[in-house]
Amino acid sequence: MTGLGDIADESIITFPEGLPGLDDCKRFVILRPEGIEPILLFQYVEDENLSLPVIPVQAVMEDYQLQISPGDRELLGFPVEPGLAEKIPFQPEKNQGWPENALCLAVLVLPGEDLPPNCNLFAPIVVNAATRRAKQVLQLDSDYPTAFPLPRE
Amino acid sequence: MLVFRRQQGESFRVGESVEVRILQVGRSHVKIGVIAPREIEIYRTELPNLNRQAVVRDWKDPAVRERLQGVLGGLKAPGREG
Repeated sequence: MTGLGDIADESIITFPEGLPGLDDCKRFVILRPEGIEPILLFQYVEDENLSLPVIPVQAVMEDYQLQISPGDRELLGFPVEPGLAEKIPFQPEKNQGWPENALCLAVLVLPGEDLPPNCNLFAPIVVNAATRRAKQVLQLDSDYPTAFPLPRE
Repeated sequence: MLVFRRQQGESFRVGESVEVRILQVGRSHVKIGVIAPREIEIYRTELPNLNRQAVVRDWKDPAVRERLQGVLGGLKAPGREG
């Protein structure tokens, strides 16, 4: 459904435009450690001690709709058909126009002492598993929050 | 810093190409619309901080793994059931 199986362990994902706040790192290895599925880790290529945990948006919000512009589709290597609207909503569950090999992952902030875990639904990381390119795609037309609280255990 | 007042429905321009519109004023939130050329990247100033805040050090550390697993406990995890 998510194309996750197409990403082999240890394969390198490239962010051509970098990630805001982590601008010095554009290449990550994607890890799927046992026991924490469906959480994935984007491990820095340059520093294996650092990683960014992410979770598929569908695991958090089943009816999440991603909007991605033709420019970003092109950047990530998804097909861009002529005449496409400026923004196209995708619903992977309904399989309506969700590009093949697309992953949509929310950056996860782990719980602290006074802080519940939360994830960023406003700026999901979209990965094309086929081209191994990724971008944090802002959902400017949405009301999705940057810190969506997740229930504690 | 330039400071001025705008009401709901009013707007202002930044240069020739960017217009900022105050769409809705709530008790603690303001809804803002930005009209700008595609080449101008717009993002919330907290985004870089949010990404930096999310980075974990040494996920193999049992304490970190415990925090990662703690996130899962509260999720329905539809992918893990069927």
